[in-house]
Amino acid sequence: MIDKRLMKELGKIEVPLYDIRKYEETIMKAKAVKLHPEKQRMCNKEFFINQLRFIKKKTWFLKFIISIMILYVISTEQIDISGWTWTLIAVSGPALCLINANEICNIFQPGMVEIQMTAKNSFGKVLMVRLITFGLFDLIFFVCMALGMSIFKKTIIWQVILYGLVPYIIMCFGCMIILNRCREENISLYSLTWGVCLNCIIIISKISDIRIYQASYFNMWLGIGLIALGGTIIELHRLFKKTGGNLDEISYGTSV
Amino acid sequence: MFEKKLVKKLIFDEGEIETLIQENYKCIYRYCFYHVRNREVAQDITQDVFLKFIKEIDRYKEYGRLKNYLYVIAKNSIRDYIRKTQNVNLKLVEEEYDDGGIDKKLMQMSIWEALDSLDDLDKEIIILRYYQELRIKDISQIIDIPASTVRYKLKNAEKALKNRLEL
Repeated sequence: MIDKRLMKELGKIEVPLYDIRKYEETIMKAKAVKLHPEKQRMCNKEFFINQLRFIKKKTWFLKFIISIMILYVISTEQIDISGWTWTLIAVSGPALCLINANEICNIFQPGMVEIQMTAKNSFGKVLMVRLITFGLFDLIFFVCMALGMSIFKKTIIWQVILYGLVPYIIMCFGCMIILNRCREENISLYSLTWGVCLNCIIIISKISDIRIYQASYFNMWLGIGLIALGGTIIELHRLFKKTGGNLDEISYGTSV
Repeated sequence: MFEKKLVKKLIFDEGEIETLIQENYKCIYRYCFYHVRNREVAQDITQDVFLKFIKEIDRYKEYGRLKNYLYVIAKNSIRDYIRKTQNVNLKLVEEEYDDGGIDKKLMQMSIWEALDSLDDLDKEIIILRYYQELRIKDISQIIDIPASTVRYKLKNAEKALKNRLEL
C-alpha cells in the first residue's frame, strides 16, 4: 500500500518537461540502428510450429477421415471374438502409421544432405518434429477409441489398447528398418508394401478363424509388442544418429 | 513470454521502435531525472537507454515486463554516469528551476535532502515505488532482490522519510 501522505509530499518535486527535439532525435537515432532481422534465429518452439506447415493438408485430411471412419465402424460393430471389431482395431494402427510413413520418407529424398549442410536445424530435428506430431495424433486416436469402447461397448480398456497398439508398433518397427537399410527413392513404396502385408496377415488370420483375440493369447500379444517396441527404439536411435550428417552420405547421394 | 514476441516484432518493424519510445520515453526520463537532477543529463541518459536497448536487442533478458528491462538499462547507465562525475550537483537544481518562490525551492531541497539521507538501495526503491509507481514484483525484478526484502526495505525507507519530512 502506498502511503498517500508521503506520496503527496514527495510529489512536490517538479520534474521539468523534456525537450521535444531531444525526443525526436532519440527516435531518429533509434530508427537508424541496423537490426539485421535476417540474422534472427528461430527458437525450438517456433521451429516446431513452422515445421507443421510442411506436412501436407492431404495427410491430415486422410488421417482424420480414416480415424473417424474406423471409430464409426467400430462403434456400430458388435463386440465378440467372432466379429470383425478386433480385426478392425488391429488394422487401424498400421493404416494410420502408413499415412505417417509417407511424410517421414519425404525427408529422406536424394540430394537433401547438401541442403542440410547449409541449414541450422538438422534433418534429425525435422524428423523428430514429424514423429512427435504424428505420434501425438495417433495416441489421441487410440485413447479416444479405448475410452469410447470401454464406455459405450463395455469392453476392457487393455484389450483395445493391446490390439490397437501392438500392430501399430510392429508397423513402426518395420518402417524404421526400411528407413535405416534402404537408400533408394522408393522407400515410401517399401513402407506401403510392409503396411499392406501386415494388414493382410491380420485379415487373413481373421478369415482363417484363428482366434488370436482370445484372452489366452494375451501374453503372446504383450511379448510381440514389447519386442517390437524394443526394436523400434533401437532402430530409431540408429536413424537419428545417421541423420546427423556424415561425409559418406554425399557419395551415396542420399541423406541417410 | 509475450515480451519476447514484442522484442522480436521490434526487429522486423521500424514503426514498433517509435511506439516503444513514445510509450516509455517520459517515464524513463523522469526516472533518470530523479537520480541525476539535471534535465540535459537526464535526456542524454534516456537517449542512451533506448539506443543501448535497440543495439543490443539480441541480449534481451526477461525481467517480467519490457519496461522493467528498460529500467535496468537506465539504472546501469545512471550508475556509470555517477561514477564518471562522482557527485550529483544540487546547485544545478536551483539554477534549473527558477519557477517559483524561495519557499517552494526550500521545500524541494528538503525533499531531495531527505531522499539523499537514505542509502542507495532504499532510495532506489522509493523512486521506483513512489515516482514510477511500480509494483513490488516489478521492483524486485529490476533490483534483483526478493519481493519480501523490497517490502521490508520500503517500509523502513517510508518510516525514515516520514521522520525526516516530519509527517
